[in-house]
Amino acid sequence: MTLTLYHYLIVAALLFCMGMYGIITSKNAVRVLMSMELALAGVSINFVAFSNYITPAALTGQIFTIFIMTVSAAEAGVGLAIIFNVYKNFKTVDMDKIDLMKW
Amino acid sequence: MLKDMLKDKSFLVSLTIFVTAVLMVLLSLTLGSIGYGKDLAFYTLSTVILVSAFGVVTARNLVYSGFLLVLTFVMIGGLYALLNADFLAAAQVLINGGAVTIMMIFAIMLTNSKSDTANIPYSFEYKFVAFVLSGLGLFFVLFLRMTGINFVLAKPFIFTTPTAWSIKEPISVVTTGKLGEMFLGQYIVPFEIASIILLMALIGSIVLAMQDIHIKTSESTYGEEPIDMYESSKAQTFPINNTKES
Repeated sequence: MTLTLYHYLIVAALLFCMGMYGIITSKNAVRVLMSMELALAGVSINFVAFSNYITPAALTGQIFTIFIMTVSAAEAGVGLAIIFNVYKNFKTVDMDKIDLMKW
Repeated sequence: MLKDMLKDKSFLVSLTIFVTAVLMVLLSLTLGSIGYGKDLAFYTLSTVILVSAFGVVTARNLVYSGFLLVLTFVMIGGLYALLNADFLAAAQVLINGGAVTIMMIFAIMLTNSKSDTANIPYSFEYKFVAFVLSGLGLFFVLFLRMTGINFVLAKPFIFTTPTAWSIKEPISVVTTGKLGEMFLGQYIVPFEIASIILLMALIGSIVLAMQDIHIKTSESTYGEEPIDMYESSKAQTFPINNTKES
């Protein structure tokens, strides 16, 4: 039995769905960021798998994955700085308690 | 510490999975000569990825989920290596497995998340609805699309012809040099934009996280005594903090 593209796609889809579930059900803001990283990793696996199976010589998917990695690192840094400020002002990182501008 | 760790079920599960993963990788190295090494490596890596990702999402103690995130990212690096992406595998382990998760663990410890109300989970009904919506529903849609099953109303659930990618076989390419050539040739503009984004994120996160510390610039250069950064930071703060305290 050989590995096909579908194997990788199913693993990536499961990882993305777990990330979505974590984003919805997490109260802690740091865990929301971690779940976001999981979802981005699932998308990256998709890109690398497509790049390997469809255009093995062009490497375009790997270029995209490196850009995803860059943007996710930047997002994690800025997001954590925002969480620090929220913690300084509210003394909590509970997503339900941060309701200053709730409608 | 060890007693608490052994009480956490997700930690136990991940420890077991990790030990089995190491054994399976060793086994796949020995089985590689007869052609089953890649399959075994794939199934081992994906099992560890999925179980530890589930641990990241559900672990009660946030520090464990931070360390499980490291495990997930390292194993995803192994999956990249299986997909002939050697540079990406190394970059994944270094950047995501090393830097990003260390930042996450720093944030967990600095925000004192252990004694926070944010660790109390939602009710079972909320989690069930979220699971059905995001977990099952989204996966079902993605699975239908990727297997080529057509769910148009006129012709429900009919297997269409296999898509173009299912017939290609992957070939092994050494990617690092080629990626460098592409970054400095065809993709030079996105490459520069990505570096500007990184610089902006660096400066922006420093500015956001260090709002209290105000460095004296104009008057302190005239004084004879050395500048005390800590005292000056206590003396002068930004107006936004003053309004918050008053």
